[in-house]
Amino acid sequence: MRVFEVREQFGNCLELVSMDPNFHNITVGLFIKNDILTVWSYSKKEGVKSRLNTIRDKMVELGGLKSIDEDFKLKVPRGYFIERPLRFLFTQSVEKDPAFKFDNGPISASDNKTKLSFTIRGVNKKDNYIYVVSTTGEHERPIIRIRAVVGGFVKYGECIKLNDESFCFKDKKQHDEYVRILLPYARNVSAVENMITTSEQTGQMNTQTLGFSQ
Amino acid sequence: MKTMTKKERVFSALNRQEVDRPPVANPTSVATVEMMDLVDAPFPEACRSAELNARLAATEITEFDFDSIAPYFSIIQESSAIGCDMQWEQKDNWPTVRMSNPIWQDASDVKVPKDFLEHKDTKVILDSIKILRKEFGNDIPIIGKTMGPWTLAYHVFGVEKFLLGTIDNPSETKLALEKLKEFTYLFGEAQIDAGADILTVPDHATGDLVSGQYYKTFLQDLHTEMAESFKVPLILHICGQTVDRMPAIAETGMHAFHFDSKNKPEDAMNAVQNKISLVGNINNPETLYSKNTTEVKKEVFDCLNAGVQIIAPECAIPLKTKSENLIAITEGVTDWLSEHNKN
Amino acid sequence: MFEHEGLSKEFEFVTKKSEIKHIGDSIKNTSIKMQTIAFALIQGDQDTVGQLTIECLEEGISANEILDNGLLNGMSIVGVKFRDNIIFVPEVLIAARAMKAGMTHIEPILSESGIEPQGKVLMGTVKGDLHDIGKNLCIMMLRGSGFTVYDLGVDTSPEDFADGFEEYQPDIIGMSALLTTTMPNMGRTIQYFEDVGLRDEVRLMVGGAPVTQEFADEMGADAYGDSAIDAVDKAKELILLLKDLRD
Repeated sequence: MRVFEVREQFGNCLELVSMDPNFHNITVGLFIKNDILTVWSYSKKEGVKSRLNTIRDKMVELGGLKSIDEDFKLKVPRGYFIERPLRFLFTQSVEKDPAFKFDNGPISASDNKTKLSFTIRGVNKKDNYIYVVSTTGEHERPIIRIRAVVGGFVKYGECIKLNDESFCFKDKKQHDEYVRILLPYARNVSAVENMITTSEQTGQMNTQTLGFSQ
Repeated sequence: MKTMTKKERVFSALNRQEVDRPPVANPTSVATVEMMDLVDAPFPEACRSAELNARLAATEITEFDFDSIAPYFSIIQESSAIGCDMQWEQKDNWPTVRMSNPIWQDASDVKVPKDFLEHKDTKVILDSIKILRKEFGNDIPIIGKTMGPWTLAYHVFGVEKFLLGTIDNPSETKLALEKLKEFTYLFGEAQIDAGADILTVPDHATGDLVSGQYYKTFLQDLHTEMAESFKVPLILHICGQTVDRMPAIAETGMHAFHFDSKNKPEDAMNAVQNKISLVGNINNPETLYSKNTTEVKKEVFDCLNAGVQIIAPECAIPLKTKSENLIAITEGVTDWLSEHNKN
Repeated sequence: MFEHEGLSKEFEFVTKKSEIKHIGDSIKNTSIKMQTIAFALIQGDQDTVGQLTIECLEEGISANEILDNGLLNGMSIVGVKFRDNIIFVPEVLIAARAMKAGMTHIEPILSESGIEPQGKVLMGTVKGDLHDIGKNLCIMMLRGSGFTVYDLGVDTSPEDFADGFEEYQPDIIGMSALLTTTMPNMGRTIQYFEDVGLRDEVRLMVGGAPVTQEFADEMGADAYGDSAIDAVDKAKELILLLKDLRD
């Protein structure tokens, strides 16, 4: 397919992963038109069709999205279109090992800055489904880390901070899959920001990246 | 006005003559990771194999309908041929010179290697130009690129050392630049012989690093000489803030100046006083890479409203630029023309 | 204006009223030798700076006096000229080289003297900004003035500043920005420190070419340094304030 055709049929590109580590470093894009998402690559390598469908299936599995009976396509159920986490979901679906699965059970992860572990519990409160962050383990002031994680969800999940320990999504609904996807990012925003900056700088040509700046 | 060929259009704009529509032409290259996949020509191999290089360069015309092709994607081909320590990187990143490990100390070290034009990394550009000329005929302008002596000096001496030398020993600096310009001429002439219609000369005496006076002291005469010597139009490219040196650049006789988004188009037009054409200056990291098609078109409008003669991104485009934003550049020109014809 | 004619001419590049007073007061009663060192530093004359530093030390002039009245006075004018685009990177590089030439002789004496460090400062250029030469000028001046300085480098996110705070426990965090587009990240960093409950633990100072006192006040910064020398003075004031609070 040519560039104009891709735009016409698949819409706008939400995210581009420049090198798929699981398939010949092809570039894979996530496109959106109305509420249909398409996983697409211009690569014509043998097996690319199967790879794109695998990525699509992984997004469905990890993100609780809906597959469509058409190659490479999936649907955003109403309320699920939250752009930033969707882009993280896509990136994870491309870059993680195809065999990767989330553990069932509580949403939790260890803190890579302290000896704490985070657990996030969902609570139904009238018309609002909120998420509460708690910790186990030793730390002088765990609230600092909890606040940081809540801040991470605000930043990467487009969430609303309710107080120092809790947040909700903008549509006030339950999105456990997004919380699982986002927790590793939210717990270490500085490292993620560094990673994002590095990724954004990669492939840019300017005085700094050319090594000329002082 | 009758429809021009792409070559007529670009040449007319370079000469500040009437055009059927403003051309879109990037003198510093259009290469993206998506197009690398489309034609199976990834970096770094596309920088080192003529066939892959030509395939990737051609997408500028075949996919985005720009008005030119520019096959020299980076700024390091000559430096590799000279023997600099190279970092070739991967598909989604630019090859660079390891300037922390410079190969020369001063002007007396500057020598053109015997096989300079036969080296893999200079030959690739020459052969690619030949392939493209054969494939596209004479109606498409091919823009070659030959690095200016200032940029070569950064590569071969190291940036800090070279800049310190401009104050410690300006006459030695001038001597070094005189000797390095030989590479500019050799590679430029060879590209013209291979079929290049225009040459871009990147020479990074940017306002982010050095004063406008530096341009006058060290480079203006060299650039004037180049404009007189080369038989094809030259487009000078300098990144960063350059409005303060644009009046001097406009006096060199170069056909055009490719300028950075740090300079407002109106300020640039005012500085050059119609003595040189301007090429640019869509912002790469913030607009082309990060924003959407509406923002891209807005910048196209800003440039055209100011009178910029050739519309282009401000520099080599980010490799991960989305294709839809590149289409938006040509569409922006079309939209602007429709609006102007209505009025 | 001053005894040294060359230095007086250099001083003409200082045009902001506050800086004229500040830097002018700092230079005006200094000896011709100190003014010569300052002038030589601005010119990037590392040999003269090095030689005169040795001579002055041999004459019994204290290392502190040479540092404050000679080297730092020169560097303060360099900082102003760079900020105002009168000089560019090459000129700053040679001035920095001249500063080092003087510091080579002074640093060992200062460290031996057992002077207690003034305080700890964590420095960084804010997120999205890759310029470091202004920040590096400040660092040089702060270190020369007895501060222990940790440098986070460029493109420093609010989270990086917070991580740096946890690691180094500085008294002051200094944020630099050279672009109007990156200035808002100073406010974001200050806000982040509030969000994570660290705001009261540290003093936050801002500076850089496009930054103003008004902007610093709007963002909620504790101090604003409008030049490298001003950054040092403000840092000293903040340390005194902190000491009072702790006492």
